[in-house]
Amino acid sequence: MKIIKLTLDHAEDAKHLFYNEKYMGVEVNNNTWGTTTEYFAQLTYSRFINAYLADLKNFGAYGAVDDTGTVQAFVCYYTSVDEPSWFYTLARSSGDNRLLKDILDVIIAVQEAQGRMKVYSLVNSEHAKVLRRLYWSEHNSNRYHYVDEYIVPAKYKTYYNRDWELLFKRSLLPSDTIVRCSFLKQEFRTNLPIGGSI
Amino acid sequence: MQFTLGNHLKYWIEDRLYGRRELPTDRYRVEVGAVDLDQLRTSSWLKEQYRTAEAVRDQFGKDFVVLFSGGTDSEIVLRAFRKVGVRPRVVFIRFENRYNNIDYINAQMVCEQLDIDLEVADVNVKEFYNSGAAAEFAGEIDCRQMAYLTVYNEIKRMGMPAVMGGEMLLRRQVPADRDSFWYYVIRENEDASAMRFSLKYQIPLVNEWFSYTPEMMVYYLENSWIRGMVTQRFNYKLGSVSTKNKVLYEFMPALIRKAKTTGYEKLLGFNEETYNTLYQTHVRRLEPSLDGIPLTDLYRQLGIDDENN
Repeated sequence: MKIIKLTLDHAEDAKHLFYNEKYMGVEVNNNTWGTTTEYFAQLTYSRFINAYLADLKNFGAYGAVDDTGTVQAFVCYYTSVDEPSWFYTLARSSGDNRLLKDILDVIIAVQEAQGRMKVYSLVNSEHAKVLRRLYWSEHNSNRYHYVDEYIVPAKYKTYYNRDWELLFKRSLLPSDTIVRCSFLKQEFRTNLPIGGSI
Repeated sequence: MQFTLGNHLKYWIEDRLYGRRELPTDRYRVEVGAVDLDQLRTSSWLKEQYRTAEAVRDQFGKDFVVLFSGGTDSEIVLRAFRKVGVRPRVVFIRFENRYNNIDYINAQMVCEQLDIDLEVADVNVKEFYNSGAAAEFAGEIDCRQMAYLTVYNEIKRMGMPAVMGGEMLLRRQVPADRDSFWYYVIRENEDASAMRFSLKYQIPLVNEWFSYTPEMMVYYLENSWIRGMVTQRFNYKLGSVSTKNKVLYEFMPALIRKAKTTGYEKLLGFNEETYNTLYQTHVRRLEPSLDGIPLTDLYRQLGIDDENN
């Protein structure tokens, strides 16, 4: 298994990851996400291709690809143009959460190399405590601390436009959701990135 | 320049009418004019469409172009012109790689039905962005929306008065310190950039067709679907986009039924990235003014009573 940056060449090999009955821990149906599993899969897959696999500078995805070329897991991100932070957005796996940890380690390394040491993500409030254990490696759990910034009740829009656009993708989520900021602890910030130019 | 009837729709940045932002703290505000109550009593949304077409014909003469997206809004514009006996020059901007091919098919269908020649302008939207030309243009008129920049660029190339459909967009604002409310949307770095473009290049433009007369705005606001949308608290609606077409079909039954598309289905990621990066070419707004007018203020400015707002 190798962890690599995904491109449009991986589109077909990742498609099977979208046909799940749940998303963010909530079953997909007309009462929750307002649509069927099939249509929801098409929507998210379309977004995955058009935003994260396209030739864009600020959107991207890393995935775990096995020897047959099948994508077994991926994590998508958006890198901010406003501040040294990034956004953990769409993620899928075929069931092995260790792959998501490995992918996250790679993205964190890439982002840190570019001077971004803070990441925003969405977590289902019911699973907020266990999610870190599931998706963060021990190595980076020790290096990064987090704060839960605020909770958005189910079916509510956020007050904050940036999070509404990037994390929520302008969607009303069917469960209470927390916006979490994870950041590299001060003791690991030995070499600060250059944040200015002439 | 006359963007709407008597320029009743105005925006200011500080005291600069149709101006540009100089400081992040400059105040942005939008206002509309009051309705003529006699006109309101005797007209209708449909009559206002024809009245607008006649006003634009009187203003521009024969030589002007309608930018046709293939969508319902610009179809209404074309039908209004045909109703008053005007056969305008019609241009469809076709993106390379067939990104908006569905819209092109719709545009052909509408033009055929209305007996109008459809011109096509082929544009490579990614090349426009990647070359840096879009960013430079965005900086000139403080516009962050690629779709708008593409259209303006084409109008600039043609160098003639132009009409764009636009829509009377309503959105729900969710502030941190009080209940949500609905507002009429005129965004500083999107819709309002049309006026800056027009003034900078001295090209007459009608960019807010559906707000061209105050009366037309009132008829739309008074439609039962729109009333329901803005008065029901928990309808989970955040904007008028998904409601708009059924309202328009009611107003103008002859409209061709089309699936609601943006024309940008294959460019969503590209659009989002450019939306965030083009913003860096101009002064950012850090003051909290709304990108439009709250409905309560809108009703007051239009001069009509509203029981529910």
